[in-house]
Amino acid sequence: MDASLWILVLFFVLLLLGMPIAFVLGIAGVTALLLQGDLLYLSLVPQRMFAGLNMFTIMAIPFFFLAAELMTAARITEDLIKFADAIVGRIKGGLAHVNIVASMFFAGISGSAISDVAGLGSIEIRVMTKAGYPLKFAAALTVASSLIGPMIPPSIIMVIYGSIMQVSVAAMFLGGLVPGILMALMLMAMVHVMAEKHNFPRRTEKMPLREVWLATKNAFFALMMPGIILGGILSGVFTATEAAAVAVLYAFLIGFFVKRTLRLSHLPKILHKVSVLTSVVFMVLASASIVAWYIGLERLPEGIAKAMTDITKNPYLLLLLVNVLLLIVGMFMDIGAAVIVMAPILAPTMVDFGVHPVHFGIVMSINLLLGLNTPPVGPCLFAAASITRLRIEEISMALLPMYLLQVVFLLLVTYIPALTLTLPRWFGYIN
Amino acid sequence: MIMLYNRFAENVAKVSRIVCIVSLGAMTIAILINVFFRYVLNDPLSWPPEFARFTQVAVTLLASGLAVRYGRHLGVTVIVLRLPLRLQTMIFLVNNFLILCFLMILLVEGYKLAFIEGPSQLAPSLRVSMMWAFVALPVGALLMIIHVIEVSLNAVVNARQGHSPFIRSGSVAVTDESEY
Repeated sequence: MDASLWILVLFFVLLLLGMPIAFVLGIAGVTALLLQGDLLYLSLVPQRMFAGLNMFTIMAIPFFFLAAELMTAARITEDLIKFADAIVGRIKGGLAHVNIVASMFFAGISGSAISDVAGLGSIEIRVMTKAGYPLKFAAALTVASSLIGPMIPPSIIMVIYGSIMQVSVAAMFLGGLVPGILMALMLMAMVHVMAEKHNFPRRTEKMPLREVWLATKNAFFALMMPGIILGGILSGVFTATEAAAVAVLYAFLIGFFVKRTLRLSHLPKILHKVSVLTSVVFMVLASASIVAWYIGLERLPEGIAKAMTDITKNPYLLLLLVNVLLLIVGMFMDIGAAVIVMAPILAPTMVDFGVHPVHFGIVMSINLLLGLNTPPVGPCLFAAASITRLRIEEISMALLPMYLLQVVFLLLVTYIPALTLTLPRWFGYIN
Repeated sequence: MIMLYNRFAENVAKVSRIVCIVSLGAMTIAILINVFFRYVLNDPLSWPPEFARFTQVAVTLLASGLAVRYGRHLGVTVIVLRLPLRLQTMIFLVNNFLILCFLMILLVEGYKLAFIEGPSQLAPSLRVSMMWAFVALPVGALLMIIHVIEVSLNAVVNARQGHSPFIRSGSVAVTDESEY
């Protein structure tokens, strides 16, 4: 336990000194191996990294990146915003609702929150400020609504949790669906209240029928994608990885033959970009596999479990405790790395206390996702700041009420397991 | 001297870029072939999943050098960015030295795994030596080493011109439509 403490200190020092987390984990892992007192242990470095990457389930992640990138290159995002505008644009605070609904649609083609901010954000924010919304509010809402992306399948973080904890990815996807929609509805309710108070504008003119038809038609193909992914997995035809590869083919065909906005010359650029994106996520997984070996060797989960149950044996308090811990971890750590390191430590204890692994996975995901929107290390917040050129502090202040709402949402999902477990149960993935 | 090294690193990046593009494309096609044979022809193949898994390892390790080059690996830079520039550059160089130590271990141990243990193991489905799967580890380590040295050298040059070596994190997955 003493050595573990030193490794933890090393980990945080290197992290705060700006070293990329993939290498921080690698160096922490090597240090742990060296402390075993035999250089032979170093041969575990390439072995563990290879084993961490040589997994079929996580292959869904590059495919989801690729599908989303193809859809973005084909400019399907514009259709999604247009379609959302056709549905909710004329209510009071219309464009704010459009922002949320478009994120919900985009969630079906993208598996990460940051790609929501990046893919939709600049258009959403531009349109909203032009209509008279404060820039800070537009930026904050874009950041807040981006969390819907990884809740509604496909979802990168749920693939990682599923493959690490050996929980069915399909069960995780189904588990996130209802919470994802709930979060969208809660944000819309908030926008509704704010719209009355601040007298937000609405779209007064009717959208020409031809435009509505075109937006619906184009958006339809994009909205079919989550159907293909989920439908393929649920009918037992495809694994999540195969469904993701089919989604890539589908996105390619739509962009190339239906929308005709995708060019073959786009492909090298897209593949190059997705290789780097994949590597950024997967190098963290690979290095974390070295650390995971040490965590197993030292039986850290048992130590943590004992420490936690020494504080309280009440499962409700324990869940609260874990929520607070994960919220803090999420503020500092990349979500992929946090899942790999924390899930094997925390999940077994929670399962012992009667929390379902799928339920815990969703709760953990929401916790860590909230960290994407908070300083000091909030990638979504940073992306919105770089789009709007606002300072992090300015967006954070506008984001605060939405963040508090999302914490309430987190508590709802934590203490009402039925929200997550009903759908996977219904489809027979868990009992 | 630095210019010569930069040109060398640039060419290395060009080659790994092409290899990554081809590998990721091949990985996607392999899984699609797998789906086609299994569900359409009802005649499942055994090689595509294994081939795609090994390719996944290769893409990750080879593209990681590119990620080092573009400063895309995610880190916590909020604190260091508030320090004086000289100190920032020093921290960056110390970090990179530690990273190089880690990568040297990966290079040496990866080399042993690929070329000493690899040839005696057989990949279950592809029926080729595991050397071909493991070789991505030392090669990837070498590419990362080349680019860590590149960004370290450039950090010194950039510091003289008043630029921070730490690129603002959070740039992962930022795709703007205007890029296409």
